Amino acid sequence: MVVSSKVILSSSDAQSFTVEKKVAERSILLKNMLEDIGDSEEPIPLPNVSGKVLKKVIEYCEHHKDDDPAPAEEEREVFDNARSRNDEISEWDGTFITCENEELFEIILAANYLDIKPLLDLGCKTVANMIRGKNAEQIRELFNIENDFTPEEEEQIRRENEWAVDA
Amino acid sequence: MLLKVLPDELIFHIFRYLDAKSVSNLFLVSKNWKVYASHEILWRELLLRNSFFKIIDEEDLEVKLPRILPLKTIRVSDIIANINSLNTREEESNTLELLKDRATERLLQEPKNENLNVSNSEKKNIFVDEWILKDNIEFFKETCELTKLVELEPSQIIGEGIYASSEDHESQSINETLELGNTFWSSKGSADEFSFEFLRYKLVQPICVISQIELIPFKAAFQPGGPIYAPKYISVSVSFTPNGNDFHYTSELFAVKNINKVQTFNIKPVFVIGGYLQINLFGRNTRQPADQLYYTVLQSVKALGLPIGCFLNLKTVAKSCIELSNKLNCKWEGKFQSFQNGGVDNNIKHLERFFRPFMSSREGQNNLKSELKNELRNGNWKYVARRIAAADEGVESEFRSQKYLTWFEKNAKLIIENKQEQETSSEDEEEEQECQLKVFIGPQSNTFTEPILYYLKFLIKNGHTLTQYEAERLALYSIKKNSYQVFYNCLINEKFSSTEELGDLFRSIYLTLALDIYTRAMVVDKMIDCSLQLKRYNGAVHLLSLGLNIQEFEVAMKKVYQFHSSFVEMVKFSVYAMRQNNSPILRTTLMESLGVAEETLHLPDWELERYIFGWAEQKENASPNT
Repeated sequence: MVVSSKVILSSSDAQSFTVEKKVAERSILLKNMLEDIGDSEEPIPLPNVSGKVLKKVIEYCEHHKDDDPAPAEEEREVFDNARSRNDEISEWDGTFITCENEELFEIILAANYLDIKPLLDLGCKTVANMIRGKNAEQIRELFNIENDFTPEEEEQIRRENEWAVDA
Repeated sequence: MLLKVLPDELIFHIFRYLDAKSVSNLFLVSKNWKVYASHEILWRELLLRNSFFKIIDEEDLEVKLPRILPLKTIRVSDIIANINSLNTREEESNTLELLKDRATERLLQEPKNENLNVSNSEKKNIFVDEWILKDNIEFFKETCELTKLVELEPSQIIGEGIYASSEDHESQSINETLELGNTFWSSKGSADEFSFEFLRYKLVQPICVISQIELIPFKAAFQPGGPIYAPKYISVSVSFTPNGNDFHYTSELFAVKNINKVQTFNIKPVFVIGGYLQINLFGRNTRQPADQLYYTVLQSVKALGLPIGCFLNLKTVAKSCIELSNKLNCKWEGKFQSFQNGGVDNNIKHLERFFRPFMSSREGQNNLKSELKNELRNGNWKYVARRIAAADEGVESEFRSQKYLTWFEKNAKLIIENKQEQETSSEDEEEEQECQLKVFIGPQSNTFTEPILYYLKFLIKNGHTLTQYEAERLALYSIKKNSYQVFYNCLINEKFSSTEELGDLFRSIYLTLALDIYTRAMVVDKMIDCSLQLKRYNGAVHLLSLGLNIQEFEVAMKKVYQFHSSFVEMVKFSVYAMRQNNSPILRTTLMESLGVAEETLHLPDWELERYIFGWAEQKENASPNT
């Protein structure tokens, strides 16, 4: 009578996760997919996401399964500006996203691939907060980036941006 | 390394959460990051989100080009749309309907408006096709900076008044709105509550960024009841020529409150530049008691923003502004005449040379600020106080503003608290000797613990005129120390302008001083009240007789009873009133109010007085405790 409301997800390293359909549908990618293929017992392969990260992502979706559905694609651009203004991160989200940089980036990638807009925003916001208030050297250190400017070039850029450097 | 894992799109997405300053920092990280961080789309977003200037015109989102100035002219339809969009309470809607009709009528009467729509569309074309910013990223960055400047250090940009739609008296001209103190511009009277007036001003420089308008409606304290003559609504039109038909921008309508307080209206978030500005005044609130006509009267008009001379270092924005202004027939007149010809680049260099003295005085001001900050940090608050007191009238005048003095006071107090001063320098004691303020400050204050007091002392000693805020502080200290000599000396020597607020400070403490201040400030209502309270009925009656309103006499007589709880005093007042006015109606009204009308009707004047005094004494004796 009641059709199966469970979905099986399979990660790149062949770990399987059984989740409620409602949880899986936080991902627009999976939602569209489920609409296309209908109900199926077959596991859905996610070759871009490792088991470790998928577990994290599912944890996020479980927690947020009762949130308002994400706005449709066309509306998004309109909301973009309004959304960016809201820098606040809820307590649960804050704890959730506190992790190693590498894992954080993998979550962002996964959120992007699975099209989970709120999680993508959360990840990007977190990285932006890490960048804010740091100078170039500190940012390089944080993200392990090599300085490929010559001192002259650096000086030139510094001069052009004088207005932003002061208090 | 790690971020390389993320595709460009995501790096870019992350940058979108940053503010302009943080993004500018990213330029220095690496070549790759510089490319992302300087992307035009990113900066356009930053500008829209972080700047109060709205550069894009919402009307045509298709042309996603930054536009510095949405071109609008006074179009009747706009005004009506604006009035309609105002949130109004229901009972006002009828008035609004009328106002709307009348405003339409007035605007249609303006002769050349018809042509405007034609030239408007031409201008608009010029704008979209040609005024495209060649170097967008620079433009965005500089606009962020300009935003900061306009927000943090705006200045008054009105230079002079050039035209008022009407003027009641030659001593009440448009330029009186620019004077400090209690001067005002007044329209002519009109029986029409919905009549339209305007004030047109020339700005300090041919091109100025305009961000805010500040108005103070005038309170005629010298008229009975102290009426306030605010307009109902205002809008602001901007042009580059002194003509009233060249406006390239007209703001929305702003509702004005009928109070004698500073009211601020924001032009932002739209970026508006111009060389002339017109305040349109719609509708009137108040009839003048004497002639029952409606007037609009303004005490002060300020436009805040930034003249181009202050942001020439932001080359791209300055250049864009000059290009656009020239297209809109900007007139480089007077001392700016030599900029009229020659290309924009030439103009900028020329202008820079021209404004160098001005810029450097601004710089000097900033240097002085940081110098004083340092001195204060080092504990030399007395030096700072003396330096502020010696500030020039011109560019340095803001040092004596309430904001700056509050900052000084707060920090100086912290210093005094932190390191209890062991001794005063001999220099200070010497000053103390010669200074007449000794009595005022009191002998115990060898060590000043009130930085503002020290500052005020210095000002007075050097014969400076006090600002409103300084006068109020002096008044409060006089009250605190119960010593009024210094304040009184300043008052009679007109070292500050007397205001209603100053009088109010003394009202409950020192009535005669309050009366003195009200008299200087011509606050008639309160002069009457104080006189009644002081039993100076002659003066009060004299003032009341100017208004010749019988009811006012009646109200005043009731106040006498309130103040003194005595029938005899009431009768005394009525006798003064009747002697000075010889008006049968006044006599009947006052006697009715006392409750003895019947008995006195047949009495001749000389007998009336004796009768009512007798009546009052009897009544008072009958109930001595009420």
